[in-house]
Amino acid sequence: MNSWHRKRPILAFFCNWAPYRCYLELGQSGMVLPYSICPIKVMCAGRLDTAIVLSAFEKGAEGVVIIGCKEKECRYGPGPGQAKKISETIRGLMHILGLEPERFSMVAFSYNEKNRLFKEMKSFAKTLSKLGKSPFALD
Amino acid sequence: MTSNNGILIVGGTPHGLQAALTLAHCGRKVTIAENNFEIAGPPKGWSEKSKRHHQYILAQVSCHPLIEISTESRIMGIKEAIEGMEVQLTQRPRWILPELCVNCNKCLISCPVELPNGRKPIFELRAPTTMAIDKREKAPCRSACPIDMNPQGYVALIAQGRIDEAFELILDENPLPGICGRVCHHPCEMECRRKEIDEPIAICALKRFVADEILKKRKGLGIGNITPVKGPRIAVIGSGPAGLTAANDLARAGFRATIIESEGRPGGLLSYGIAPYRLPRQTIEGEIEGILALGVDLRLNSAVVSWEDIEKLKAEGFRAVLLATGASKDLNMNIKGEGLEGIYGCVSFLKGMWTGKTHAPLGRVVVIGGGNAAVEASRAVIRSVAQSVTLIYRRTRMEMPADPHEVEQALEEGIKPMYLTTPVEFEGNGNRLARIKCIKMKLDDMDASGRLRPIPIDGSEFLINADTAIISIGQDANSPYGRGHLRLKRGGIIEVARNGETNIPGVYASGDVVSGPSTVVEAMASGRRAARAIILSLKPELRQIPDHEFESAREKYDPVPKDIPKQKRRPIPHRRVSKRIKDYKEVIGPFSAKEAVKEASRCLQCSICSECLRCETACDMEAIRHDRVSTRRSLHFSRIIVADSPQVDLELDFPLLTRVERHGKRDSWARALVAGRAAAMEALSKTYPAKTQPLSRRSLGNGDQKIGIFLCSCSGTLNENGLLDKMIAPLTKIQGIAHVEVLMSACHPEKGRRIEEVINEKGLNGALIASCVCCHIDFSCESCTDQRIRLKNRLFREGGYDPKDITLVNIKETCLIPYKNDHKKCIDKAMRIIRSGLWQLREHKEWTFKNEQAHTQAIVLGATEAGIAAAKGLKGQFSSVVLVDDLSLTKKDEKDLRGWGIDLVSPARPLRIDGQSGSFTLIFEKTGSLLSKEDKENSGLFTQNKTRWRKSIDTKAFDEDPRYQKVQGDIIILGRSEFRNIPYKSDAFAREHHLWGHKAFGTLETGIPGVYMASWSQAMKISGQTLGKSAAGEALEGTFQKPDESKYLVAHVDPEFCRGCGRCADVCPEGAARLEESARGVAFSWIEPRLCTGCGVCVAECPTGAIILPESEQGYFEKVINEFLA
Repeated sequence: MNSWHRKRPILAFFCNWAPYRCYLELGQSGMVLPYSICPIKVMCAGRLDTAIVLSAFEKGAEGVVIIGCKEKECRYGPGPGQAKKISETIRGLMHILGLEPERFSMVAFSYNEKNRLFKEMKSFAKTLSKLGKSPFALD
Repeated sequence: MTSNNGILIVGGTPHGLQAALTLAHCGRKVTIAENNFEIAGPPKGWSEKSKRHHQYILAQVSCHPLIEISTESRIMGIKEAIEGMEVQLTQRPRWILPELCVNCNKCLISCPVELPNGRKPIFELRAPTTMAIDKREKAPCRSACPIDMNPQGYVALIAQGRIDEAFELILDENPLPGICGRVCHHPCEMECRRKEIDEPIAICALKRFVADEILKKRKGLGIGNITPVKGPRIAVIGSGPAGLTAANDLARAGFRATIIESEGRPGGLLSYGIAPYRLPRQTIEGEIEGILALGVDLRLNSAVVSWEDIEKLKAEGFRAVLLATGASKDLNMNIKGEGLEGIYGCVSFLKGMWTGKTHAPLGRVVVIGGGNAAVEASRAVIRSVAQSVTLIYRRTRMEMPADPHEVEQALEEGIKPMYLTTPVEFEGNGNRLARIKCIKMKLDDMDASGRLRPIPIDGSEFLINADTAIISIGQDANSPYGRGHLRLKRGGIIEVARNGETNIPGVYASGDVVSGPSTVVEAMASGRRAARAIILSLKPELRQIPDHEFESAREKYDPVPKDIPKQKRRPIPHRRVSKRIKDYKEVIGPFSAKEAVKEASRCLQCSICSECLRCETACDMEAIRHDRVSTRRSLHFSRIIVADSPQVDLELDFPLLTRVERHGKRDSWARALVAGRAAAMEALSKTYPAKTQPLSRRSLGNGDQKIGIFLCSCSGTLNENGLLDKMIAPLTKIQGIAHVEVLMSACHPEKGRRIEEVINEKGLNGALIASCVCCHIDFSCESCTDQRIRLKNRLFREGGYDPKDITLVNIKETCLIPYKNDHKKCIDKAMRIIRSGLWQLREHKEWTFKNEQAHTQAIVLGATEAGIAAAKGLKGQFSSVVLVDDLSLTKKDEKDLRGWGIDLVSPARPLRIDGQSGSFTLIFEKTGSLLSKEDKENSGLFTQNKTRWRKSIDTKAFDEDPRYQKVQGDIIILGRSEFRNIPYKSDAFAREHHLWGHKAFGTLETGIPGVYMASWSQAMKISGQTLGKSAAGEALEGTFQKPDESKYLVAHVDPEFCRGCGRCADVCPEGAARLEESARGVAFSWIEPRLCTGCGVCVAECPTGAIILPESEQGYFEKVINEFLA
């Protein structure tokens, strides 16, 4: 499992606000996320679109997860709704490209849910390890 | 009177926080005075959303450079002054300075105290994010100690097994720990609160344990090499406890002390009075060596017996003389036969024994007396020198002044006590003692010493046989030199002031010679006081060092817990009687290490923080000082807002003092915000923006990249085993990196400036700081701690660096803490994060923005109580305010409003609102007839019927028909909720829709940015006035934001690619993206930088990719993704 983690990166897009804080608190308290999770910070989950997610898969990511705020908690307003809309398009495209739709996930967290975040990330990593290598993997 | 400090807000309540924020956004300087040690968290009853928002506001308040939070501050008095108010502010001692604390937790780890409930005296606060200390009044054990030792401190350290540190702490106050640990009468144990549960802590024995452990490890207790001391020379006459302590203190203060001792061995009564089975020679020698190693001279066999000897010393160059000659002249009983052979004074007898002048076999020994000296003598002779030992005392065992433990051991060893007996005559055979005639006593009333007076029983005389008698009824002071010069009292006691000064300048006295026979530790205390007097007289500048004054205002102890299990004292090992009376080896043994820990763990830690000063030593940021005291300041403010009534008397009423409208004790979050803004609004009038320099961002220049990478080790805690050092080499290899360094701290106000130093020295044009700070944008979020905010403020707001040139990434919580056990993994991840952060520096594009509009005109719709209050509030800050209403106002109201300079358009029917925040247009129709409110309601024009509203207006007519007039405004405030139904058209291409209600709770903004509704449901119980003011405050907050800073995260539409589809305008939550009409009559999108918050949703929506936002472009994402996947 260990070497799998090092060579099979999972890109996790955190929105700058509640999810990132959740992630930092998780790290501060010593909980160790699977090494394969690579954090990328965006201002709002609403910014993410098909181009970014698909380019991640194209470059060899095993999985992509978007961690945004909850629907009513977005401080800008439209973020989570926007992200939800785009995720449907993304799943559709993934199906056409031959990627298993389980490789993409979108979840919503508040700032005080680090335990749930930990469980969620671990189970996502496990799901991906069961799916095996991505069809676009570089090796 | 000090200079103006802006506006004072009393109380860090949610109301106060919001008021502070509003005022700060409008450019005013604000100070928040909070009574507690931290700003309270949200009350428990609030919803999660409210709590989250509270956190967010708190982060913003902590971050803002114009807001200062003063915790632990109480208002002591308010009075009016010229153009403002003068306030007396008292701040309790802040042992940890928040502005220097970096939250590295080293102090927390070093604290040895573990409280019964699992907490520690040093703990982390939420707001400000710093550490704080809970310190109560002086522990009872410490108060009881004459030399102010800190038993709570060293017992806590022993309980953690930290013996070396315990020893250092003991040595701070006590240079003779091994001695005291054996012979001190431990007043501390008598005050120990543990006795309320079971038994007091064995403090004395624990101290002895520490001293012995250290003595084992080191040869003697000397502290390294002898340091040459150059200060004034002081002569200390006598090397007993008083003299030794004084010499120790003098040497530590930089003086050159010389101890002048009459005997051949130092120690005074420690060596000559106390027996080796209580106090071994080795211990005394070791501890005296430790004192001498400080640079103290010792002259033995040099008696000072006359005043000429003292004069000679002065002539030798000694600046002061401290007499510590003790009290060891035995008193006589003055009864018949005292001159017979075989009768000795106690001290001289013991001295003879310990100097080797052994006496002949003593036969039957009778010791007269009941003090420690008597018991000492008895126990000394029973060890194989005497046939039998009888101890005669005139009162009972209960009244014996000797240490009860000593008496117990003496009795165990076979000494026979004879209570209520006194000798009346010594009878002898020839000139040798043979018998003693004694008389029985009985106890009568109390005498001067508080004990029952013994009186002889007539006719009860009897004889006892004795070969040796040792008289131990007390000692006189040794002060033969003082006759005729010093003031002497009965018994040779030298009269001194409390600090040891005699009547002769330069001559001091301490110890038994001023108090009479006393205890070891009392003598030490006396020596210490005299030493201090000498120090201050010759080096008065040392008076600045505070003398550990505890503040009486400290909180009391917690009550002794009732629920902890009883745990008797660990037994102190004693040698068996049959063995020990055969020799002079030590009777009492030390604790074993395990037993010591167990015994020390019983301590209740009464004062919570024990002032062991481990945290002060551990903090490398110099943030902790335990000797700080309260400060009292008198400050001048232009206005005061009271957000927390208990702090300021409700009776006080000044024109410049505003009280936040509170409804009961616990307001909801929404109410708090509204009330806070209203109070802020009031305070805005007659105050002026703080004179801050307009921030000019300086760019570090373009050209070939010369980037510096700084890795913050958070006071070294993140660089264990060189984790960060290992990253220096691989980082230096990256192209464009000119400098890589590991910092002690990035956020510390002084140590962090290394970053700026290096940027200047090496001429860097970019920097990446890898620490706990996760972003380099201007606003703060809930993740922001004070430390992160401090660094960002220092770099960007104060330093004026451009966020395009400096970026910050978080590697602390993302990899250094979770993966610290696997260096390879950790470094790999950290490198990837740093590399992805570098891409933020490599995209430099210059934009130009339109000039900011000055706030010129505001529109208020509806002359309700709220509307009028809003209009008046806005008038102070906007050049003009237009109040539109379709109801007629009374003449009085009209006159009042005109007096305020508010333009009144009434009666007029508002028809539609066009435009965006900053450029609204209100279209209205002046109605000729003056309809009253009743008429209006009857005519149906004010119905909630939306369709009727729309149908009745022909929009094309607006531009042509002269009936319809327009008025411009930057912001609009609705005074009446019905106006929500007015149609709204955001731009030339949009369809009409309605304004909707409030956007979110706690804000009076409607769904349209820039339009505020100053009305609320009745259930919230807020007055119309407050609502109006609050709406005005909120509007101002929005318009005042950042007039002269350039924001970093602002979206920009590239006109090359924009096709005017309007999707960005539809989705923008702030109304920043808007469609405008080009000269050709087609739409193009433009983003108002003042309103853009950088969320990036428009970037995602745009079908052509025309919108550019820093760190949000597709190209940037691809590069960042690459860093993780390559």
